[in-house]
Amino acid sequence: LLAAVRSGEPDAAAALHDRLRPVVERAIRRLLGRGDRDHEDLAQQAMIEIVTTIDRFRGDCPLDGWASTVAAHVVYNHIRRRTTERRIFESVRLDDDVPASTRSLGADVSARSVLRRVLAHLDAIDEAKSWAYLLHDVCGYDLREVAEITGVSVAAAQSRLVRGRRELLERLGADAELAPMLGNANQPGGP
Amino acid sequence: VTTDPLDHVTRLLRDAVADAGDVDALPPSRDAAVSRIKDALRARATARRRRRVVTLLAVAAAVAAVVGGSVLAARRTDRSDSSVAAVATGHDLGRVVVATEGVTALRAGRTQSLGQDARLAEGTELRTAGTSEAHLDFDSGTRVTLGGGGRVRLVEQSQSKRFALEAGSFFAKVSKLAVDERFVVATPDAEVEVRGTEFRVTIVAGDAACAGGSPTRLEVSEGVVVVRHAGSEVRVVGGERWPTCAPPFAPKQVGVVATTSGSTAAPTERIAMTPRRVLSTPPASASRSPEASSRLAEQNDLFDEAMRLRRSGDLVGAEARLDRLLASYPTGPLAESAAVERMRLLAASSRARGAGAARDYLRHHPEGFARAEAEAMAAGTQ
Repeated sequence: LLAAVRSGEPDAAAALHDRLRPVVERAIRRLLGRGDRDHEDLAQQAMIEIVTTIDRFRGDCPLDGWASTVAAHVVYNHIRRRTTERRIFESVRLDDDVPASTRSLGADVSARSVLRRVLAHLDAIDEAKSWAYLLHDVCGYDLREVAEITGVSVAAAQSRLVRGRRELLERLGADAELAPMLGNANQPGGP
Repeated sequence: VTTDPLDHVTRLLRDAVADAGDVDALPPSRDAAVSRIKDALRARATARRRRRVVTLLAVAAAVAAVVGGSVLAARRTDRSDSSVAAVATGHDLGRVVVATEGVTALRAGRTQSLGQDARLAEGTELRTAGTSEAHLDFDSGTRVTLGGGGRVRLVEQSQSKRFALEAGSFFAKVSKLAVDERFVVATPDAEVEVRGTEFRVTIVAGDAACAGGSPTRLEVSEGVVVVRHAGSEVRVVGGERWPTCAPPFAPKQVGVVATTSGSTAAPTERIAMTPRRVLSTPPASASRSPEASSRLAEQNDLFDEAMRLRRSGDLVGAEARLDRLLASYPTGPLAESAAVERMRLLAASSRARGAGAARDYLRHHPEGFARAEAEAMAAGTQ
């Protein structure tokens, strides 16, 4: 399949789509949620980006991981170009259907409140630092992939990540309303 | 469970985005997506072909440039070899300063006209037509002129300059040579080697009665020239000619060049040379053979050595050389000069011996050029 894509054979289009579309979908949904209006465009744009940049894939990492990084890069650039809405995790902010795993907190409403306040803090800190934190700590991309997605060096990505964590932690500690919500967790020996 | 609030909210966010839903279900827009991917693949193939063509063109251009450059370099080298005949050897190559019409250089089987300042490489053959001349200058200051109807080959042009004169007249004014430098002109039957001098070598129709019919004629204006001929070596000093049996060039004949074929070229001033002094022609019996030339060289050597010893203060040695010269060649061309020098040498140490030597001189040369001096010395007044 890779050889066919590299040589530009049109017959490989369907196979390539079916092979990598789920990977692309997963990457986009993690960053934008399921209901983003640009979802389909971004997915197709990511697939085309994969075709045009296939020569950069040298086989030193899984193809899925590389395709996911390409898709995240497309999303990253897309969100940065948004003028009215450039926020990541829109579905978390707007979706009333809170993910089931968050219900372990005990109350759906409480969980949504915590997430929205955390995202508000992320919006308040430097965008590059919040992206580094979200891509690395939340979405699970490694530093090299974060660097590729955001178009910076690995050292710069690492610096942004460290500073993003520190700033977010300071903001969480200074948020008097958020403290009771995280109270149990913040108490030594708590749940 | 964690006590770190950052860890806590990170886990919350991770859980929130973890449920991506059913990503394996094919989207309803699959056909459109595949169609766009096909377009991208076609564009990729087109770009790939374009890159290949560009690469091939670049390679072809590079090959053409290399081949073209090689051809041009070869042509340039060939041109410089054939027309200019100049090769950068690091040695002092002759530079053409004057080349009249009809002067050609032959090199590697090609004959080309010479331009001004062209440097002649080793192996070049220089030819001059009937009335033409070629003048070469060397950086050392040496000057060479090939007269009309001449043909000379530049056999060696390194520290040793060796010319093979095959026809015509070759005039050279050679600057003082270093110890490891040589300047040699070879004729069909002789070899002339110089050490900083001015001379002319001419190929003429040989005279069977002179030097075994040698066609080589040498006139030395300044310095010393060694002629090797018929197994012997003769030193010819400034003002002398070789062979001595050959008639000297009269002033009105100077520059008339005869080729080996016997044809006569027009007079030329450029190669004219007027000897400052020509030794008197020795007796025919002593001068019309190579052996006579060899004896002349020995006389010169004895005389020169005697003078050198006298200058260095070795009067006894100088007297011995002069006595030997006079005893061996009492009628030689240097006999009178040797007798005069002996007279002066003895007078300087003993008036009586000087008077005796003066009387000997007057007896052998009653009309000699030092008669007055000898008479005074013999009378004891000097």
